[in-house]
Amino acid sequence: MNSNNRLLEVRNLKKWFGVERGIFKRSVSNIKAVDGVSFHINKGEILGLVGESGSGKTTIGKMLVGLLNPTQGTILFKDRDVSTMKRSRLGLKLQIIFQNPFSSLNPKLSVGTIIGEAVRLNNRTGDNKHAQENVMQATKRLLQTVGLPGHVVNDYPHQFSGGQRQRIGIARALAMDPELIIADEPVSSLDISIQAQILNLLSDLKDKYGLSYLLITHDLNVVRHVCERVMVMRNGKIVEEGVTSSVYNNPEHPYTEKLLSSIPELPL
Amino acid sequence: MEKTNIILEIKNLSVEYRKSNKIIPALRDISLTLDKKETLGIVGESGCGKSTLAHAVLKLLPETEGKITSGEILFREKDSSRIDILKLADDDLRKIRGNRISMIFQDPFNSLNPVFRVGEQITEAIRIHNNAGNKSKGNDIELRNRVIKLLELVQLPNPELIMDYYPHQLSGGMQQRIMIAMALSCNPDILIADEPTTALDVTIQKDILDLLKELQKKLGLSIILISHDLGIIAQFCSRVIIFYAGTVMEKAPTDELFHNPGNPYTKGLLDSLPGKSGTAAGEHKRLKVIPGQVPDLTDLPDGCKFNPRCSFKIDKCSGKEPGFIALNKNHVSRCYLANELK
Repeated sequence: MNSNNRLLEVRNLKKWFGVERGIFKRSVSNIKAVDGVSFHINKGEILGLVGESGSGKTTIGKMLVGLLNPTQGTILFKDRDVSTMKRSRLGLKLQIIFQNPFSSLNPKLSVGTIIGEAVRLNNRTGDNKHAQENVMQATKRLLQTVGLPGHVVNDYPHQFSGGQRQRIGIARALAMDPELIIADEPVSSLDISIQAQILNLLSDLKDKYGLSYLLITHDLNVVRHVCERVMVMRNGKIVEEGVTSSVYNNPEHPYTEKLLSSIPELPL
Repeated sequence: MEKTNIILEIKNLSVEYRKSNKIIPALRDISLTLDKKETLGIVGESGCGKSTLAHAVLKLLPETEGKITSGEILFREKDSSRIDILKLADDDLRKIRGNRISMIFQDPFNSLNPVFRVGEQITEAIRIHNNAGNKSKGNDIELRNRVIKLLELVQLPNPELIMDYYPHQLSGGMQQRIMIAMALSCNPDILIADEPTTALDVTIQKDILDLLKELQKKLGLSIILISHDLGIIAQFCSRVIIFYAGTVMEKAPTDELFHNPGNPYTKGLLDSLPGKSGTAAGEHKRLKVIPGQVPDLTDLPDGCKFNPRCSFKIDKCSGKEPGFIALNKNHVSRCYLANELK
């Protein structure tokens, strides 16, 4: 185990949501959304996280970027414990792309403002190579990186299609010069032809910037195509973890087997 | 030409939506046939007109906005007389809708009424369609038994218990089973399933598709399955129709479509699918993509609607829109180069 290569390490992570009853909000029980999960992501790696709805995939993603506080456990990002850090600090090198490109962009802000905001924040925090870059220039550069023309900065989210909006969301994440991107179902609301474009974009960005991804998805075909390693999650626990090819060819856990046998096979 | 096993025939159907004095051609000149006991797949990306077609077949389009501008939808009765659904008066239409042609939708939770028990909702469907309006005691027991039978048919455990549940007490898969039970409550001949499993998890999806397959065998249903998922279509359908921007691009038997696509759009769709069984796992090479995006229906390109994105494009593609070219007697494609793509 080469620990220098470790970008993220998660140990025994738990998130319990209390179920409260009555006017005094008496806590009656807990929903164990994430129940003792440990894993790591190496530099330049794409790790897949699959599972059914309600298995806790998104909760893990949200805890990693600090949108939820863990009930217990540690999250080490580049050997620093970030689980207790302030969100504004932690958000820097660890970014998230959301599933729904329609609700994750503010409809009242122009694309330039949405991305420019992130660029400005990144400039302020200083420890980056584009610190001196003009905000507008940086925004246009980012749009071009994700395959949109620079002149769309004055347009609003409703003027774009789903795939284009997802590109804007990716540009916003890239504005922070992240090292790890949590992609939470990045293509599941997109059409097949657009889905392939976005998957290619993500893998191009990985090569270009040396990014790592945690790809959260329910689509086992996407995982097979993109991820080097995969974790299978069920009821808040990781039931199986391994190199994608060996998990797909020789699933050990009966749940993984059931999941894999449910994929509609293509006659190709 | 008149084959007797055709149960539904759509001829030259065109539908327009009108929104703030813009005309949106949602469907243009659609023709298709559905055989008895067959499963026909309809594939396309969002906005291509799949759901509009499903709604048009049952005349469910919102009258103020959606207008069927031309075409016929011919339904063959058991005595093999043919009825044009579009010409029916509302009263006669109600005898077809639900009784002969039934539909299930994508999102079972939003299709069920949250304030009524599921049993009541199925009972209501039966009561309305059978004109069994009188609420006598004997009638009620009979209806209840019928609902229980239906819930058994869709393989829900403990039907007596489940019929007293409210929709929110059931999982997505169970809700979809309730929808199927409701759709089958009047023994329809045709079931239109509009993305029936898109909102469900992959293991539940398999269960629901297996159930539909079994019910089809048992009840002799003809099914139109609308989906964007080519994997589901491949497993489930005997024939496939590919839609693009409100028009049919290709019609073919499923095997033929996957192994010998006759249209660049179909080819592009198949190439852009991730995780094909042939590719090694985790070997993240680039997917072949279809460049650009689906055209705006109010601003369609001249000629073939796919030509701006097509890698096989020749000069005449942007001139006149191609008609159907036959690859063989069951396989047609709207492409000048249909026979030369290999």
